[in-house]
Amino acid sequence: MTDRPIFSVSEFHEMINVHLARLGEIVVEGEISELKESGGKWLYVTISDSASTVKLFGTLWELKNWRSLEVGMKVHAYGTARTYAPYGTFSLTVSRIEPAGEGALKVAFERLKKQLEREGLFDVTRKRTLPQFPKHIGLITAKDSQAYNDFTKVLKHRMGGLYIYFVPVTVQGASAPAALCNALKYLNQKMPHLDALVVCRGGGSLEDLQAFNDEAVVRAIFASSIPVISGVGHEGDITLTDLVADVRASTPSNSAELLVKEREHVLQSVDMLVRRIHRVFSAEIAERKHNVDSALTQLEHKLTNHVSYVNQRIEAFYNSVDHFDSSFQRATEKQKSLSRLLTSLDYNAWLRKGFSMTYTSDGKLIRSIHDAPEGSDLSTHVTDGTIYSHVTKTTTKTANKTTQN
Amino acid sequence: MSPKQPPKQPTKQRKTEQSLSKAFEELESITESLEQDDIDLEKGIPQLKRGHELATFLKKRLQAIENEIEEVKASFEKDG
Repeated sequence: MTDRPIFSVSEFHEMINVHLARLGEIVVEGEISELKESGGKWLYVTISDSASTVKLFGTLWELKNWRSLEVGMKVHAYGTARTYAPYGTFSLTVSRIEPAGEGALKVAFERLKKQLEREGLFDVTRKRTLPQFPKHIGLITAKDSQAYNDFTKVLKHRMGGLYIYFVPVTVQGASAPAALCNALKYLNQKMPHLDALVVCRGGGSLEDLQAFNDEAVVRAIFASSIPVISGVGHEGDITLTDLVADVRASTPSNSAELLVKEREHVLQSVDMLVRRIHRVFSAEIAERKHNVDSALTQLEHKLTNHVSYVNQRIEAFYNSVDHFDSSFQRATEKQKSLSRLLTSLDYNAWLRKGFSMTYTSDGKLIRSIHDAPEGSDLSTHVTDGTIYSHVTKTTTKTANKTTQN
Repeated sequence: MSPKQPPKQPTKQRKTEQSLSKAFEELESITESLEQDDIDLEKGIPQLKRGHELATFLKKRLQAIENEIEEVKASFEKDG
């Protein structure tokens, strides 16, 4: 017999588990050789290295990233060791299984990316545009970080008058995903009036940026009712945070550039808008002027037509006046020649030439010897007076004899 | 741009901000409507005047240089 205590099987398991619990949480690295989800609740994983194997057990609820795991992936299993009494097996009860090393991270990244893509988290159609002039901005990044400095420095040279609500969080390591999720939830709940949220951190390895590829973080960004702009890592780094964000900036500085306009640019835009308005008015005024000009031209044209008509009429009038004038002159000429003729017919002219006119005493012009019988008194008109005479004898022309009355 | 205490009048500031966005949008829409429509000079002149007012307001508002940063004091590390 022996002095050593004898345990029942159940007591043995209890004793071992008490000892194992003292180890606290341990991390075991290994490659996944078996992966089995059970009843929508549990996950059974076996990890191994070249010589040994250990079984992992956990709940799907805790192992949120279980879909990104696959056989052959190198992982870090975080858990507490214990035995499972009913089967007498030993396992690690895990709260987290993280892909380890670049290769595994990449595989996990791709798997999760595909999964979330299928769910529509990265749909371009659901991306919201950022407000043109965000004023209240939530900034989620690490305190005293390069990302913080870059972001605030760039903002300094852009539009002012902004209010930044800075939420300092751990951006790397085991607590980073929860911190990011909580910050996102906090701002959405307590400051729903924010115009935009900026989630950023500087560059790093895929492992450093792991929190920004965390499924819970990606879903928290997806759930944010405030538009999110991401600026994670360097130019070439693309995280799932970038894919789910409404706007993806390549760096923290770039997120400030995309979010807040440059003062000069806005001023230029304002000037440009004013110029465009002025252009509309100048064009309109020019058109009106053109209309007035063409109306005036038309009017002028009509007036010219009228004037030329009037001129024609005046000319016609003058022509008729001329016609009248020449007729008048002709008439005058005729009148003059008639006058001359009349003058030539004036008896005085004949008197001056030596002819005279003799009248009987009763004033009858004598044309024949019979008009002046012997003894009658006559008066003869010459140019300068009258001669009175007494008829003593008359003779006829043909007999050339004197008629004695 | 060192972290400061909460902004004095965030509500009022927010109003101002909305009007900045609105002013810019209104200026844009005035410009576009003037460019698109057959403009009636008599009706257009008030719009021209409004455009000038908005531009003046925007330029004045853009004079603001300082930003304020408030650090949110809360713990986010724990699961919750």
